[in-house]
Amino acid sequence: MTPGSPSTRWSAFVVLLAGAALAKPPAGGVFCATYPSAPECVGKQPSCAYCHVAPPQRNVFGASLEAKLVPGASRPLSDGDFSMALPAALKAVEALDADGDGVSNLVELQQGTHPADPGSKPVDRACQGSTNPQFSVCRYDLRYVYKKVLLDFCGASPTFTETKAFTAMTDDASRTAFLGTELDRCLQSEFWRGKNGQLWKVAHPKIRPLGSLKEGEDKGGVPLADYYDDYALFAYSQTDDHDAREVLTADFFVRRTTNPTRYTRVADLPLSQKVDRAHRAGNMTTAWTLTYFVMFTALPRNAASQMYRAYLGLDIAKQEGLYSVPNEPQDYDAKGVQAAECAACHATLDPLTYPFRNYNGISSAMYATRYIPNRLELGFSTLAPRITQTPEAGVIFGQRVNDLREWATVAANSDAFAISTTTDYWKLLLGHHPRPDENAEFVATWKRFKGEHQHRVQKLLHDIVKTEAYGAP
Amino acid sequence: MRPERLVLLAATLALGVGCPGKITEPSQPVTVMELPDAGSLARSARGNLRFKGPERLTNDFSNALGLNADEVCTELGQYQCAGLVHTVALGGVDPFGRGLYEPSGVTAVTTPLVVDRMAFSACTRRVDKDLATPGAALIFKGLPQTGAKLANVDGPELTTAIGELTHRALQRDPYTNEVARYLQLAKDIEASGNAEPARAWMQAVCFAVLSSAESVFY
Repeated sequence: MTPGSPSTRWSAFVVLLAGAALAKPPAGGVFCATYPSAPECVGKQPSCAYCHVAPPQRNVFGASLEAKLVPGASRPLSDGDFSMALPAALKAVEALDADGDGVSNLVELQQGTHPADPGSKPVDRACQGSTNPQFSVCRYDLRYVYKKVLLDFCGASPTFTETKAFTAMTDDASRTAFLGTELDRCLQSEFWRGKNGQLWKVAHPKIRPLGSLKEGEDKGGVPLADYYDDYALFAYSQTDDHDAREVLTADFFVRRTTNPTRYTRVADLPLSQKVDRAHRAGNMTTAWTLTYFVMFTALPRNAASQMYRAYLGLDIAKQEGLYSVPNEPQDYDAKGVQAAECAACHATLDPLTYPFRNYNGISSAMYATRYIPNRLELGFSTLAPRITQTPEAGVIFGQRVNDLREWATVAANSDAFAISTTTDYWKLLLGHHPRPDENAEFVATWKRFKGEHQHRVQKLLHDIVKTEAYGAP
Repeated sequence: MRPERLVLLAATLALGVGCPGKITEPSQPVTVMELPDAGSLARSARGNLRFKGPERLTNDFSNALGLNADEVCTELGQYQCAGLVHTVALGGVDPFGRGLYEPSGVTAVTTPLVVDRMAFSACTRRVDKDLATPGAALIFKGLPQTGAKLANVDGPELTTAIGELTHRALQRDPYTNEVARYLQLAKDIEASGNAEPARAWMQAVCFAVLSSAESVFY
């Protein structure tokens, strides 16, 4: 069972209802139970921003919905009453056009555009005019794709002679086969996999490097950890026939060699990585992650939220990926997160964070960037009265996990991971998030990546190149 | 609409000439194509043009002009324009220094200035090389000069140079209107009283092709 599947959505819905007294926002689950085939619900749930500017302030769609939500009943509604009333309210506003863009709310939610944003509406892709001498702009064009593939993956246009030779091929089958070969060739290039190449660009927002703290090659002024190890594991997991999930689940490291760049799996990197093999979870437990995202913190919510954002595409700060856990947050570190305005997010975030409890950042030189059993008891026992009661078990996507390795496994096997990985490359190669009119191709692509392709990025890239979204000028 | 076939045999004379840059394939015959009526062209339904950005621009300029990548453009003669000084303006990132992990996704106000800077720098370097060693010229070869002037501003060798440049920068043959425009440019420059009209024309036509929308977007 994975997030986004109907069974998961209903599980989340039930969990949310169970937590009614804690003011957990069940709207996403109810919405997706009402419109299970809506693009916002395929492998994900709409964030709070679907109806709110910032809760509790509503956008125009939320405001129209609110008016139909058990009118006359006293506010605030309990989560249970809200959940019971929301489907009817949604139906009641289907024919309206909240944002005044000329498209009804129902069509917008079916097409995946935003019913509160007049700039977001279905686009008519009808072709106009006749033909062009260079490209067929209304359909997938192999000549156009050839140039794009070489620019996107090799970093340079084909030459005039190469272009002529491609055009002169006898049929599209030959051109398609040649394109596949060229793509594979370019995936070996320095432009794609080398230092500061395209793969590294995908990794930057995940690793969030900082030159002044860099250890090893290109050492900074205050060298603390070598994030090139993180880039190496990321690049390794995205190349050749490797499983992309290893970026989260690997219990090994990767060594990068140059001229040409190669990424090689190694059991240990004793000079730079200190977490023991039994407690490694890919890039979630590297020296850099623990240095930069855990740092001096007892409960490193920053680490958990960054992993959730970077590898699953769910930004809690944007109220995405909220799967509230009953009786949470417990606030073991006495940060005041049980306040109503905090609890809505922390009921998800804190249980995501508990599995990091024994991963030390840089709060102790002796234990720096290591897994330390009883870490909170050893180093943080005076921080808050209940801090040592923090469990190592946590919850991700409504599923209980005993430790961070289980967290990583659930995360890596989720729809969210496949969607996030596919989105990374969609953005890299098309320059934008999947648009509503590209949604069908996007969904088919990430599902093949997760299913048939067993999380192989090389195959994912071949699939993206074959989409109309990529190949129609 | 079929292209007008005007194969210029003069271009084939350049076959086998070695190139100093990355692309060393021999020159190809130039065919000048008839430009379709703009009103009859199909309009792109997606319109998803993408700016090439620092690395692709450098590579394509380098390949087009047969220069090494580090010869394309430097500031103060030592700092790479695309790789260091103007990276962010060109849509690149600066993750290790400024914490800019993702490109902005849009071209900036200064982006066209930097593109022009790079194109003009690269073109100046190519023209300097071609004029310094005419026997090994890559693009502007076989252009008779009278002093600092082109000997024949209507000569077929100019069309050959335009074709060579278009092949290398845009991977296609030139259109009739492009050839006519660049030939007219030679006359206009000469009429302007420029002290080195041949050099100025070579720089200008190179700049026009490299800084065109077709060259910097894909």
